[in-house]
Amino acid sequence: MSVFDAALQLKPGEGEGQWTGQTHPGFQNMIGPYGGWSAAILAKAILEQAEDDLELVSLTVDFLSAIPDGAVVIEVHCDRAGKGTSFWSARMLSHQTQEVCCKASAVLARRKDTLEWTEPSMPDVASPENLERVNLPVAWAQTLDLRMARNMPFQGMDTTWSAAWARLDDTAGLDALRLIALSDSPAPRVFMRVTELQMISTVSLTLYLHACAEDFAHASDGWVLAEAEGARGTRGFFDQHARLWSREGVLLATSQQTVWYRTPA
Amino acid sequence: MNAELTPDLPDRHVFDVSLDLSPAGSGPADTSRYSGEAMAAFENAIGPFGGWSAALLARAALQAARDAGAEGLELISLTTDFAAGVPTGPVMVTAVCDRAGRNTQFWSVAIRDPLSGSVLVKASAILSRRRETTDWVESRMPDIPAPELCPRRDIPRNWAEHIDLRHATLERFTDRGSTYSTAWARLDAGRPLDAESLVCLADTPMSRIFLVLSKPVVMSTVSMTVYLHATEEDYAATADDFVLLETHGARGGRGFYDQHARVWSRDGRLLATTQQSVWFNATDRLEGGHDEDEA
Repeated sequence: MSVFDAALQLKPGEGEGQWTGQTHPGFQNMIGPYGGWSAAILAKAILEQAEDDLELVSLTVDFLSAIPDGAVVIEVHCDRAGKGTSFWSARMLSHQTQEVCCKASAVLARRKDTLEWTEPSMPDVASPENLERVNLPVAWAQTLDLRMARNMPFQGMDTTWSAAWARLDDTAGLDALRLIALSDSPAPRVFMRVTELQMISTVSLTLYLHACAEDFAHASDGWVLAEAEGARGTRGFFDQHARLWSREGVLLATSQQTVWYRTPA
Repeated sequence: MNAELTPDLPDRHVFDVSLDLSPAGSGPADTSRYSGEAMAAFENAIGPFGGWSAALLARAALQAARDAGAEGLELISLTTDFAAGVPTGPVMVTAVCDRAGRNTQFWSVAIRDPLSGSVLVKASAILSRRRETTDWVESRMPDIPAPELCPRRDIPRNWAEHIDLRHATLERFTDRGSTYSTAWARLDAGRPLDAESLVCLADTPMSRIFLVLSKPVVMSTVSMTVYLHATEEDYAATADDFVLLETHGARGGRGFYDQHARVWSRDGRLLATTQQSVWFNATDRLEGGHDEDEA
């Protein structure tokens, strides 16, 4: 079993809509787990609870407090189930402290064929085979293969646009949960503007999933290009916006997050 | 009718009157309850304009935080999910604090059916006591015609009586392959901008599917997120002037598309960024090179 699949294992908990999981050393970040793991395991619990033919359309995860290592309890609740679309809430508590660490809001739908269009195009970048793997001093960077394609952090740039390849370090291809995990891979934008590591913490992440089964099948080598840019940073919070592309130039998802920081003027 | 909802001053703006929430006790698990009203003034095709519902939930989080004794918190982020239509008339609004840290609070708020208590619209709000840090804005406001040079849109909905919307630039999707557009928006007559009205105006960009197909079709926003950047000085400088919404789409397919906007003040301050995911069911075929897979 891959590290990702092992890290996302869930068992039914005691109550209705309750699931239990475990933080995984392969996704350890500076404080608590990598946010993409938290988002993916919350999404998995919601999908487990929902009917099989519902797909995730939109997911927002708020990061309330650091998750201590060990068991987590996830509580899933359906707020409204329409004919084709349903609305869900979930929260993750530390088993040890019983504190809420993350919460999620998700929209699921039974998707049907409609008109299709894509507006932006994928940036022209070197393929991942021609780029070096980034060596970050955090455990999740051993699980997630990250390769900077355009613009590196800590160069003190005025703009923060960058593009980087990311994939889970296994051969399991790509699916919605893997895409969610990869959506948190773009470097915090403040890192692009400065030359030294800063204290930061994502407070909220939203992801809109566009990829269909065929898109995932085509992206079977698992590589996703994350193109990210910031908009404004002010008084302790900045936002960043990302597009996630398959190697073939299919727009798989868009995501955005708001991030706490304290870099002085 | 609840007497608390009667405007205490005759000249209060209809938007302010519409956001009035009266405390209505508490529920299980420290839930604060408020009663409000979905006024006809902000009605859309089905239920109220989405921006109004989001603004009411922004108000609920800010008011509940104050009622719980927290001063000086500003709205940072609001994600609103539109689960069902809100019937015109009384609504119940609930607010629960999921975490109150020293400077940041996380709230879950919802507009509910006043009788059954079932969720109609729900939101996650993050509030924080902001402090000075390094500051930056990355993009620039586009150079477009002033609102005085753009005609007010005539939209046959109640809410459009109170929100002045003006297209600034709008090109044909079929020419550009893009729905990029810009528009001015403000609440009518002298209502200064604040967090609630910024949230409300964030929902004004024209639905991208209308631009893709050059006609209105059935659609419904399922989720909208607003990140608020505006400082006190930005609000003061904007006052009751127009804000500019610069909007583009990314991908549509299998029943949903997304759209993304930046909200600017007339003098180029980036007040907020916002995005939404929208349900649609149009199965039209696009003319010209957009249907290659079907060939």
